[in-house]
Amino acid sequence: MLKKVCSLEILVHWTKAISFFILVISGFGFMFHMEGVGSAFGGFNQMKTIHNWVGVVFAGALFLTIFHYLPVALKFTSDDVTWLTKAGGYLSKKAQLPPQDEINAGQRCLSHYRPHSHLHGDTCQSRDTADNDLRQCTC
Amino acid sequence: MGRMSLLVSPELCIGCRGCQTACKEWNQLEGEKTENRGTTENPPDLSTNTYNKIRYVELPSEKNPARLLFVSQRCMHCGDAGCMKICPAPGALFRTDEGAVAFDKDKCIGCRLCVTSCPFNVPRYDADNKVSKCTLCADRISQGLTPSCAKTCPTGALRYGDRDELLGLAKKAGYTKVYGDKDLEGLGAMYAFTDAPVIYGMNDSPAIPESVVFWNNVLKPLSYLGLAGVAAAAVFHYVAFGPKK
Ligand code: SF4
Ligand code: SF4
Repeated sequence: MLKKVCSLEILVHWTKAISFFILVISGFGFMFHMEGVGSAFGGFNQMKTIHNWVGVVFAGALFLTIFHYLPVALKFTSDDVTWLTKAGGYLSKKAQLPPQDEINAGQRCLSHYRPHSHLHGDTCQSRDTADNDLRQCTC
Repeated sequence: MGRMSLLVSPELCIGCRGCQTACKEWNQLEGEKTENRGTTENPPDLSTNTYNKIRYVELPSEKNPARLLFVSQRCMHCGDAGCMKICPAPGALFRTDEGAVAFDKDKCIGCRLCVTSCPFNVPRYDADNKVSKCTLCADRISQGLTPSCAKTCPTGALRYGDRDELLGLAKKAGYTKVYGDKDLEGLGAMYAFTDAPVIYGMNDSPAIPESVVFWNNVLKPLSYLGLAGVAAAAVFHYVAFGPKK
């Protein structure tokens, strides 16, 4: 089997994925006053504490990702252009895609988009929901 | 029940600050240690133990070298309340049947968002990081009583009653414009000013900060749309193209 990622990358990936979902759920709970979500977290007071600290964990994992993948993400070749014009093969089963290196062009684009979307949100709500990077996490 | 409200008439106020004391008595708020700052305006600001206070505005002119304005400061019980709009904890800030904006410390999570969204800089935080502010004596008015401050006021500078009746009263007394009549869907504390509001230390056109309005009217619905969009796209992709093999 071809090994594409190391164990640290896997750890960071799942840290980010899990904390992301905790943040989204609690964030929506706050924004739309969802009492059920509040009690699932043991009350709104406790949910606030959890939301804040998980936010720190998420931000830490995010920074690791950004710096870890920056060199790879900056490599943009003609293969990436082809990948993008064919929408990564997601819209057709017949699309022929050029081979990609560590990350594909979509991931490359997301890793440039993400830092901005995460960091500009000064309210916790906008930050949580900007990350719809569910399909492909680069780290 | 119609909306209840306060009508403040600074021209009638004598600055006795009976309202401040009455408020502390009813709400069992401790006194504050302050120092002489060269004015009888005391304490200097609203706090967790001071829900209302009289602001002293010195306005000497040639006609009246000793003109002093006394302006009652408190939560305005806004019709469109920025604090309630942003509060993430259900029930921490709530509207009473009479139209007042009251709080429940047990439900407050101490995030301080209401501080940034109040157009009048009213909410304060106690040592436990819980919100505190004037509630229009929610526990009194729900029983048909008058708020403590208005009950005490000896001159009628603070009047409590049906909002429309109070507005009529002010109009009859010759005030063509009442501060808070229409602002923020009508304030629950209206002011009969004889001069421009800024002279009394009030904002001419109070407004909820743009960022809060944007968050509430744009970002909030967008986040729902975003979530629904992601889910819809995933379902669409699965149905149209099947799972990735
Ligand atoms: S009791 Fe009435 S007159 Fe005295 S300070 Fe308060 S509002 Fe003014
Ligand atoms: S004055 Fe401030 S605290 Fe009072 S209701 Fe309006 S926004 Fe809320």
